[in-house]
Amino acid sequence: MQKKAVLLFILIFIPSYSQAFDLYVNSIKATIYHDPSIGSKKITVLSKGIKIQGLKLEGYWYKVVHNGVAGWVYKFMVKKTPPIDSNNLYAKLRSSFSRGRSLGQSARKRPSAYTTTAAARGLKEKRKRFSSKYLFDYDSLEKMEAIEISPQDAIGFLEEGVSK
Amino acid sequence: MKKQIFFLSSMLFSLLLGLSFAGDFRNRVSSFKSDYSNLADIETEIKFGRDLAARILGNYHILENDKINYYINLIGKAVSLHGRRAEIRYYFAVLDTNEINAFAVPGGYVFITKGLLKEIENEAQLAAVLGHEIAHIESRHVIKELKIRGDKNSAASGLAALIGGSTGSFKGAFTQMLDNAADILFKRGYLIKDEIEADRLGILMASVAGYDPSALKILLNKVKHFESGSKAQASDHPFYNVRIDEINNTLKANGLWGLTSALVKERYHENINL
Repeated sequence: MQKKAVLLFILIFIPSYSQAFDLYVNSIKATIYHDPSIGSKKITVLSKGIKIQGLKLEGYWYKVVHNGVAGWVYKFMVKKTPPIDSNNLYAKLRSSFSRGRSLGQSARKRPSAYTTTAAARGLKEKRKRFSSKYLFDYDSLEKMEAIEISPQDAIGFLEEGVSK
Repeated sequence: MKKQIFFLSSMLFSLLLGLSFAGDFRNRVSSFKSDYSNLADIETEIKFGRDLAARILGNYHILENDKINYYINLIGKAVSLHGRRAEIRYYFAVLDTNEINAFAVPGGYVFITKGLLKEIENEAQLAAVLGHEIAHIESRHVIKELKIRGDKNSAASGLAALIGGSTGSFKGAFTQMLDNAADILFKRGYLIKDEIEADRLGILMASVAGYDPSALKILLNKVKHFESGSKAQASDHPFYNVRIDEINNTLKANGLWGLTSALVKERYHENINL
């Protein structure tokens, strides 16, 4: 009876804390290596989104298991959560982004619209408090954001160069 | 009697073992919560970073050269795909200044100066510099230093409330936070521990992408001599010798010491003609 109680206690209490944890490939691909070293033998290459089992973390490397085979993956290619779709995220955020100039406005400016309004109301202290020390330029920012490169184009360009 | 001792010992052993795992489990959960990775934190980081990037561009002009800017974006994007922040859209631009510097802004905005491009000798060195800057963003160095959280109930800034808030005090605090972040980028620079971490991660990302792992070390050895000379504008990258020692350790610890990979010199000079 007592042995059964011990066994039951061990079976219930320990496994819930000692099991492996889920990891998801968040980079475009992740190589599983035989040892925690980029120079070691490559076991397989996994695509973004694939779930693997993490066993432990040592330095910058997770020891993992995939399809029954153990290996090591570079820590900064995986996360404990699946990859977030940036298209959905940016579609939601875009409406709240600060925009570039409208007609008649200067591209580079120091005070915010709030500061201008505050100044017009004679709120001198607040104007000083709300003024940024730095100029800002959303027109140039939008120009920077206009360059869109697909992952396929970037990887294709990369491989063309590094494989030579 | 023996059975009772065995029973009690077993229960005690199991309890201690369980508590040990429980502590580890709590640490993992705690660590997960403190990594700034919930959706509200990410949204806040992107909005904040975007406004901070506008301040970089308020102080520098983008180089008027579509070919160079496109090329920088191709390389930067390719390196960033080997990081783990799939939710971030990375943008890259060349700043039209002879200063030797680069900036990483939260939310995915990376800037490199024309002066630094002139010193870079090949695509592997460019990839290493961009990898270093991407690593600052991947590791959320500015965000963590300023404790910028999306959760308004957090002990830190509750910046989501600041961004969403329309009252003067909210906007004032938001502007102040942006100025603090700009001070880090323009004046004080990153913490040395963050610079070293960015070196490590940047080298690993660029190496996994296929570039020569020693590229950053060679570039740092070259530009460190400008620190106190007339070309000195690299003020946010101090302690070069410490960094180079740490890079050597990283190369050795990750099986990269002595490995040679692609430098891609010709394509660099075809695209970067300054």
